[in-house]
Amino acid sequence: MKKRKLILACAMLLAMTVHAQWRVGATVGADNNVFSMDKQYQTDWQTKSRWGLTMGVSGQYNFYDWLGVRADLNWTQKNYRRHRDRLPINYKYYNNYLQLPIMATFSVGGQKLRGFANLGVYGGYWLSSHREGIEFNFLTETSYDFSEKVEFDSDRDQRWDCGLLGGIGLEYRIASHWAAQVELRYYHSLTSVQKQYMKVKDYRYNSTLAIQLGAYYIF
Amino acid sequence: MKHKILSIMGAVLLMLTLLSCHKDSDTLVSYDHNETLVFGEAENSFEGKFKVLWNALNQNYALWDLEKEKGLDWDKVYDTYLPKFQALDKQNDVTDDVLSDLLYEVLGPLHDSHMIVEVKNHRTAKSVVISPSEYRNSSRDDYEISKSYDLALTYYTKKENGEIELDADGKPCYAEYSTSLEDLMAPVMKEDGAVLKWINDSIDVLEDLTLPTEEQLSTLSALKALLSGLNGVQASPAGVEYYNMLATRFAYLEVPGLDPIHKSFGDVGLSIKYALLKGKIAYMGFSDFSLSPYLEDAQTPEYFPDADEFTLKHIHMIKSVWNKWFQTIQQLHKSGELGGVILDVRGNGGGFLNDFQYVFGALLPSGGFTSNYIRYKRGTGRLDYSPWMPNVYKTISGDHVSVTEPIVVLSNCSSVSMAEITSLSAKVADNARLIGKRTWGGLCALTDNIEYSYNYSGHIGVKGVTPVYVYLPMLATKTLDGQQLEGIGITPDIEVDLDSKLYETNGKDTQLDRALQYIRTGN
Repeated sequence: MKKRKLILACAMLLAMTVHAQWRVGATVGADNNVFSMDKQYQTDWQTKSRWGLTMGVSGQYNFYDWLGVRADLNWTQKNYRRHRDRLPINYKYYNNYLQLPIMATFSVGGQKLRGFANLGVYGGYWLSSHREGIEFNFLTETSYDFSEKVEFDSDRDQRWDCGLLGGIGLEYRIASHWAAQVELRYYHSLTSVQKQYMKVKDYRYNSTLAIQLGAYYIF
Repeated sequence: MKHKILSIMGAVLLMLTLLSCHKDSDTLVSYDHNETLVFGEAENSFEGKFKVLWNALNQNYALWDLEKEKGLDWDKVYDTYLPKFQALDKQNDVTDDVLSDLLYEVLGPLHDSHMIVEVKNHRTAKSVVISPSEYRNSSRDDYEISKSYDLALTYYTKKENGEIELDADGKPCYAEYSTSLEDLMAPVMKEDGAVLKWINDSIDVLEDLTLPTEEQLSTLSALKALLSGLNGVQASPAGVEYYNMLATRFAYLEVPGLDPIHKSFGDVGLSIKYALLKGKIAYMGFSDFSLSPYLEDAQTPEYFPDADEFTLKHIHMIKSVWNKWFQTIQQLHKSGELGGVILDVRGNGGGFLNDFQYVFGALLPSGGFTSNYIRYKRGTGRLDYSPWMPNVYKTISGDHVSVTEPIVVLSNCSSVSMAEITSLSAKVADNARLIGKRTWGGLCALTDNIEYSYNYSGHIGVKGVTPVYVYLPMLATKTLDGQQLEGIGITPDIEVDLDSKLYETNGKDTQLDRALQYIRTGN
């Protein structure tokens, strides 16, 4: 019985590989991250998006020429800036995440040039955080330049991140086994970067738009 | 093709639905000014008062990481005490003591040692005042002694005791002056005060007259009215206002010493003493870090608007005592004769940060001095902070000597705030030592309520107006080696008790003696 099941599984796999396509590749790009939080009555605090880098590896399995499943493993920065209007205070945050996006990929078009759309979810881990900028000592009326690693607080900081993603792009078949892609992808975090460590609810989110180039080898 | 498009659209619609899943934070309010929406419920409800206090501290208190380290769970405090304050609302009578005891349970564990909380008890129409640091320090063995310390140098300024240098005329090198309200009003408050004595003597003379004239009778009547008015006058802002009214009304009597007192002495009055002790040791003791309004020409009009001749005289006298100390150091250091310097901040409650340059900073090179790091609250979250940054205190500018001779700072339990920063500086500077007893534990700085929005932390409510008011620092402080000593204080290099019996008997000061020994012998 066991032997029959094994033969059947191998036959199915063989059948799938006849129609399906595997591909592996690498991506590199830039991303613009928006950090959102409620500034409450501290109205002169402003939060601005900042650019960062993203790079990773990718694997994709196409069930049909128009539908496949894709998984990436990438390092993505989710940077942002906060500053105040009333005092010369300016903070630039650099946040490094390791992400595992998994998505369905839909494509249309010809042999050489195809358009595609990705829809899926991702999980990530906040690897490290750094901040630099200018602070203002109100007591002495002097500015202070700083650059420091942000130490994580296990009560406050949510290291695990997850959310939704969507992307659109174009793929160009360079050769029979090689393709190049350009993709505009959006990561929408559903996890606040801050745990609810207080009775008072205070949610803070990252939303990241990446533009990335990819190169793929198609088996 | 159709089913491909439908599949894609279905997936997109699902994603768009889920994209709205960012939760909203709770809406918070600012507690820095009087607003019905914020303080309304607290006017007539103990539950309301507790919620204001808890939430306002949650957003503004700058030491939550320290409190967490010390084991405090502020959310648990809310869960534990809200029902207790709700229970008070159901009681007919709530005395001030009951309210006070409950507030001490809530606030006692907090380490900030400047914090003072005032809560109006709407049942008694009085305010309950809570000082967790006062409560904490009052259990110290040296608390009472430190409170009674009065900056007296009576033993040391007597020639016969051989502790003081003499000038060319054989007089002790010593100067002192006071603009504290208690001292300015002593002539009219103390029974043997010069003004009261003159009035009483004048009344006696007039009453002894056999055939007084109309004018003399009128003067007698006025003197008695003045005496009656001065009876029970207090050294307080209201007392000064009343005294000034009397001084103006009865100015025609030309009573010696019945001079108006500028109301600003209620805020920036201080006592200062200078002595050149044997071994050419320049001593300065002072009650408050309020020197800047006296020493800086730009600040004087700001703090003493419309200053009259009496006020200017007081200002000049304070300045002259400080100058004697400072110039003596300059001359003796240049001639190689300076034995050392003693800064006495015992019983000193602190004051202006700018004063550093006129005290410890007057002994250092220009360009600033750092003895600690500070960190501001930067957000409504309990753990939203700025980076730690070095706090650079101004040192005196202009041509002056940098003291290389031994410096001693004297401290005790009642050395607070800038007195503690000065004590901490003695532990940082190579040629300085801290002698005496551990300080109060209030190193975190604060500013006026009006400046709240610069740092979005500090005061809560408006004193005397809102049902809850908290006098609260806006930042945290740590030493250069990373210790947060708030609620603990600065430990001296050489610990010495003040022998209070000896001090009361003949004025011998065991802490000052130890400082003199250290400077004279190096040990």
